[in-house]
Amino acid sequence: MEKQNNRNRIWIPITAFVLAIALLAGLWAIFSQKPTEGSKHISIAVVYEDGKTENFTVDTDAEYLKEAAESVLSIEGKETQYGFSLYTINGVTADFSQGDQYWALYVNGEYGQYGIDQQPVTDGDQYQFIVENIENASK
Amino acid sequence: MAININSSLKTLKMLQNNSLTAKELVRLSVCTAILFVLQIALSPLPNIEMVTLLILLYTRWFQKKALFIIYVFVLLEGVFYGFHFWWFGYLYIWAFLWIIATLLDKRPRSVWTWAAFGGGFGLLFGLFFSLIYLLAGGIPTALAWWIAGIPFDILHGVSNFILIRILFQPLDRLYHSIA
Repeated sequence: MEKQNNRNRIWIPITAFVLAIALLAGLWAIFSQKPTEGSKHISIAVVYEDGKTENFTVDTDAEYLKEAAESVLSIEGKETQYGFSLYTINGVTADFSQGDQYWALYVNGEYGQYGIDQQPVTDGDQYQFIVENIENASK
Repeated sequence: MAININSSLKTLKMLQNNSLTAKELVRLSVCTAILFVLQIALSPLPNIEMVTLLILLYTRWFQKKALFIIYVFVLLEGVFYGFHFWWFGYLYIWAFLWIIATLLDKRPRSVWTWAAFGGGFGLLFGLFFSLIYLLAGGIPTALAWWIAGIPFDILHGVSNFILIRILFQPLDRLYHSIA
């Protein structure tokens, strides 16, 4: 009887934990935004603090924006627990961990929901990197 | 008069129970330093941290006084990394873990149960954290942010589970042997 209780003490938490992982993985598989394969024509704009803008058009097979952006921009950042944190574009730094500014990403005019290494690339999309102050985030 | 003396004695006793002795203050400060230093030391490893493990243990050892450690730690994180948007999530997320640990510790649990709850906390870390994105950008932003981060949450949960399974009992024994 005690042996049975000991077994339950081990297997119930393990089973619950594994089921929770499976549930989360299922949610991610169903609801996460998926990249599209093949050649895509996109535009990338970089808007600096003084309003100066650089525009690029890119033909790419990249599935995520980071790879596509790196073909025309010099990008620096850091891998963090939530993916790639973008700090510098073409030598201009807007690092939210050091100051009040950061590089905001807009997709087709809308505030981006993903980091650049998780932002799927879709044919015809327009991406903008804009230096913004943190207090303006997602407004 | 008798009532007043009794009431004063009661208040004094309450103050004594809630106040920190010098020894306790040193103990809590050392534990806070360990928590903070380990957080920084492990920060290059994505989603592998000992904060969850240590807060579970500190809650077991110090009960309410563990909140002192938690909030000094949160303050130090702000001073070290800057009081940015994510920092506000720290104001409630570790206190929430303290509540979980307090409820769990009401009766003896196997180390597997502690590992499962610590792991579960890691799995749901992004969901809890997305609450601040709910305030900033509404439900779509919070949901998108949470869903995109699920692979990182799974890594966080699994690493919490393994660390707690391996280190919880030895550290608990070590503390009780020196306390």
